[in-house]
Amino acid sequence: MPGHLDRFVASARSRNRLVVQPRMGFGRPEEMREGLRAVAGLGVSAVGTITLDSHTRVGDHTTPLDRLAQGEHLNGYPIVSHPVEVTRELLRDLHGPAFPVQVRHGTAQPQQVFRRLIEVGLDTTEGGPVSYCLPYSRLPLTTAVRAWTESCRYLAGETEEPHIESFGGCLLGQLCPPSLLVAVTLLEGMFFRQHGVRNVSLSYAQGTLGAQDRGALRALRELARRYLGDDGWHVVLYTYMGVFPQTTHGASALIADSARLARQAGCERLIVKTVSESRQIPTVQENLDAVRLAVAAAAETGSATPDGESFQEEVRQEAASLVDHVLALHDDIGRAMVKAFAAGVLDIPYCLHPDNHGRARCVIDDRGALVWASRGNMPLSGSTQPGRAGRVTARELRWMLHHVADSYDRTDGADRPPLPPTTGESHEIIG
Amino acid sequence: MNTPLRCVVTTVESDAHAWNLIYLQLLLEERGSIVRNLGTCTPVDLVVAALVEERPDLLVVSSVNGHGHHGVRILLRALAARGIDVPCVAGGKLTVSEADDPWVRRDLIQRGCAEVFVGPTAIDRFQAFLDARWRTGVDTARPSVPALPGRQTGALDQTGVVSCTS
Ligand code: B12
Repeated sequence: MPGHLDRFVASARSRNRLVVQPRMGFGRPEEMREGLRAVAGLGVSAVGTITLDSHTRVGDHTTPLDRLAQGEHLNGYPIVSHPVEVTRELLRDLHGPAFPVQVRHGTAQPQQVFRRLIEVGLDTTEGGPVSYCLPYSRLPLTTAVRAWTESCRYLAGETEEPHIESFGGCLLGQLCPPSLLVAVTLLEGMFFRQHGVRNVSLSYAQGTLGAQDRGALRALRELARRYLGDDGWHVVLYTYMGVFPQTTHGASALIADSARLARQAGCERLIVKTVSESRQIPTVQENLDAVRLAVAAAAETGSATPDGESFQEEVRQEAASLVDHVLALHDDIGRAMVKAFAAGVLDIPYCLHPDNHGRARCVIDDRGALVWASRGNMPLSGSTQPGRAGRVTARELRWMLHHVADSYDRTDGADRPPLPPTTGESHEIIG
Repeated sequence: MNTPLRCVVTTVESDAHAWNLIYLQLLLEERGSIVRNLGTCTPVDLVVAALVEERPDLLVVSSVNGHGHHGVRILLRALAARGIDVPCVAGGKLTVSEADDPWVRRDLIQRGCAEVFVGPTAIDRFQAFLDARWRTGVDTARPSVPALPGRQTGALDQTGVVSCTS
């Protein structure tokens, strides 16, 4: 014990309820407590979040308190900088079986964060050696793999039923075909298991097309059973993680659609965004509104008759090929992943990290689906989108990044903006 | 003859957002500039080293995670302390609240930024700024920002544009 998150999710599942969770983090303990208290008080199946600030993410634990002392605001809660007692007090009477609290942090070297979360009485967190390194840090992947190995073992040794959610289903938040997201989250789930953390969640970020997402989420569940067995895992969906709609109606519609998607695809948990996403750190009230909106949209949605079968088939094949190729590289999954990135067997589109090959490219096709424009060295078959391989202009990139936001910001929310005319010269971003 | 504008694109140490950097790199390159993109989570020392090495015409700092105001202040202090006098512009979402935009812009300009671009028109105003200053080549219109001594004229290594690949 505790292991609150897993029991909470299992109980909600047995009552056919979606667990909803905000992404919330404030620098000051009073604000953070107030936010958690308000979410706990909603009376819905909600999990609480402490999102850490980005100084903490890069290992700077002195700047946060200096800045708070000067009256400045941070983009999250500096859990390592605030004294243990302060955070314990913040969680008092809140964190428990009826309201599990998770720490979300984005650190490539999480030792201090893990130590602190145990000190304050928590056992549930997020991340992974790949998904918290390549998108979040300049540190070498080998350093992150070592740090995550050590941290998982530590967490497993210090707590009875820890839980780690892989962030592999998000990576850079946008413009990544689902099969790679699915492969990375499965590999990270297996990595956590290999280092003693049995209970895991596998993530997936809502993409650009509902049918593709439903297919991908079904494929993820199939493969999770294959690689992780029948239990000890659940699936968490992230409301769209890329550029968000600017209008309130557009942002709300996207949040509601993500809740419907979660239900249709049988996801156990959903992490929501807010109507402020495109602009600034959301208020507590905006977080509450988003949770309520998602709960309401989920309540009116049943599981759907399967569609997107061709997407499901494609994601299953591609993700399994990636996972199997990686697992064949080394018995130690961490080392296998390092080798995989070095050889380009895994290659995250548009990722600038020095350990990423940088040959893969993703585009949005005529259906609105995320597809490979270039597969680099990845063990994937299939044809490349004609004429666009590896090259993208500023204008095309902007169009793709804003594709979802623009569609939802239109009043009718129906038609997609047309593809931009190709401008003369293209530049390669990388290599 | 126009010499291409040479830029270093960077962010601040705590900022992991990359799409803004990629976008700005493409935008500048399509205008004919030569860009060295330092990637995400750039420590001050790394930026300083790149400036000493490249002696660019312009330093472009982009941050969207809400810590940019803090990070740019630190960077400007480091540049001043080391006597590095390269024109610096900043932009993005520089604090955790849009309401801060006007005073943050003023504050950073006062501390030495040549210009600060925030809000929905940031890119348009940046383009206008570049047009006004460098339309006819690099060295024509910069009265307020003295050129670095001993600037090299050779083109930067294009493969070093992004931190990662060959
Ligand atoms: C994708 C994304 C991520 C991805 C990033 C992946 C990666 N490595 O790149 C992930 C999921 C990892 C992520 C993580 C975090 N994120 Co984030 N993220 C976004 C998101 C959804 C889209 C950003 C994007 O891709 N934009 C596309 C580019 C092209 O546009 P842009 O960044 O807005 O830049 C444009 C303008 O701002 C301007 N501009 C920017 N810089 C400059 C510079 C100059 C000189 C000029 C002229 C113009 C200019 O021009 C650009 C083109 O129009 C935004 C919200 C949104 N916009 O919808 C949040 C957002 C930027 N993230 C935010 C935060 C806080 C974080 C986290 C700290 C987690 C948290 N507490 O919520 C971590 C940060 C970790 C870190 N160390 O920094 C906040 C920042 C809040 C603020 N400033 O008030 C945002 C706004 C979301 C929110 N409302 O909370 N994020």
